[in-house]
Amino acid sequence: MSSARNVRITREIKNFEKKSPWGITCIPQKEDVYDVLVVNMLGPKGSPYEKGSFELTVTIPKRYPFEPPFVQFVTPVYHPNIDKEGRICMDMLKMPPKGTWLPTITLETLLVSVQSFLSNPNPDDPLMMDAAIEYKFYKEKFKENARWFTEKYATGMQPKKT
Amino acid sequence: MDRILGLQKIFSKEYQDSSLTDLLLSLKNLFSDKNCMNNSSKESFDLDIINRNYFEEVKQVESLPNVTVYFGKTLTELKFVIIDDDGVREHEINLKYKGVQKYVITSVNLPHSPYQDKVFNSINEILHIFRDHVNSLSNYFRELERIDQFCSVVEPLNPTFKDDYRKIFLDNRTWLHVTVTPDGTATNIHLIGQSEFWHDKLQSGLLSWDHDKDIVDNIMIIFDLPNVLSAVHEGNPSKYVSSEEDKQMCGICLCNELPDNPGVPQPLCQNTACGVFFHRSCLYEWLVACTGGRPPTFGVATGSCPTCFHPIACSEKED
Repeated sequence: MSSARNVRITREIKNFEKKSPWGITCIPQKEDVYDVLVVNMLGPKGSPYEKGSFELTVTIPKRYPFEPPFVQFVTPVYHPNIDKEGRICMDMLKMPPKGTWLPTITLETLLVSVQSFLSNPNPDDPLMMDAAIEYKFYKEKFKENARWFTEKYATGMQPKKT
Repeated sequence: MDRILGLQKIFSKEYQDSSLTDLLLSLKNLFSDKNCMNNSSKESFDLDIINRNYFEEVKQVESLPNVTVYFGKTLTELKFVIIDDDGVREHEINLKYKGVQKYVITSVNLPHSPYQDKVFNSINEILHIFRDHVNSLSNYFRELERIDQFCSVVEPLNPTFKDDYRKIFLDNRTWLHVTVTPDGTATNIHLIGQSEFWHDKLQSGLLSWDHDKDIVDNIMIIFDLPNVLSAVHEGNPSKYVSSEEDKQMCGICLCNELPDNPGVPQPLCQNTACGVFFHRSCLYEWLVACTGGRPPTFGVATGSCPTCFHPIACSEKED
């Protein structure tokens, strides 16, 4: 059922261009080929990631939307649930029954959730133990590290996409 | 030893005169005897392992009011279902018999269980502690029940008392996360989604949080939406479907017509209040994908509706 995939993703990208959520842009890596999308995301306000602009890639699988997209950070992020390769451990990005992916979740909902996930980690299911322990027990230290990481990697280094 | 002697007898005899069939027959007799003996010895073995006192204790518990006893895969696994003091909720506790006067709690259908994996002397002791614990959580149960009843909970999929958090639907882009503590207060309240509108409401609302009211009432007041937040199960189609035009759209592929599919989206969810349309092929494919991609028997896939989580069945082709 590749037709459902193509029709849907085309429509989603168009919707995204028309009315994009706060601080998120999403464009295909190659024009009109919707297999890999490049996303630029501003850190949520009031979080240590506030001043950063993060680049991500979203890979749309063949069986989308019956399988979740693969979302990965390109910009290094200091976060309990994001590893050094930028992989994200998040329920919404996994198939049920383990995860909570649903075909009714749109790209927009997904990216907005990833953005919110930055400021609301899940330290009980961590990928990065150190960051998770810091987040749980030494919050100030964690914030400082996350802010430092954001300043080092996510400000000015990324060309701003429109 | 008897059997070895028997074997020797058969072979010494057969070598002299008998045919092969006779040999096989006598061997068969010998070993069928052996099987019988093994079975009987196994039974007595099992009864020895499980102490008689254990059964006495189980019997005693069974006679208590508000407790139901179930056995698991083996006789050493037990499940109790008790009804709490409010008289309506059922709570499960699983335990395992580890030896004389040794019981271990293997799982409890509650999020906070400090006594897990400790060893206890008697079933009664466990039930006593469990009952106290359940009763101490009554505020927690009440708050979660009210949230499940009055709010559209999007996560967990099938909320139970084991999950101490709820994600509540605010609008298509925004959800509210709430964690409930054992004593029934809300913590870790935050928004999923960057919405200034909801964010401002939450910030000012948290300052004026009324601790005498329950969580649902507070949420209602903060976000000022007694009407928008109605249970998913009772359904309020307007919150999923934003415009008339969208109504005919398939909730999965987000379009009306598929190039290689003759069907049009239909309201396929058995929950009449759900009102979201799906292509039969899209819904079927999703339900199959959920079960690991194996095509279902009789061509009917089952699962839950991807919008309202109502149990749902969908056949591959039109009936």
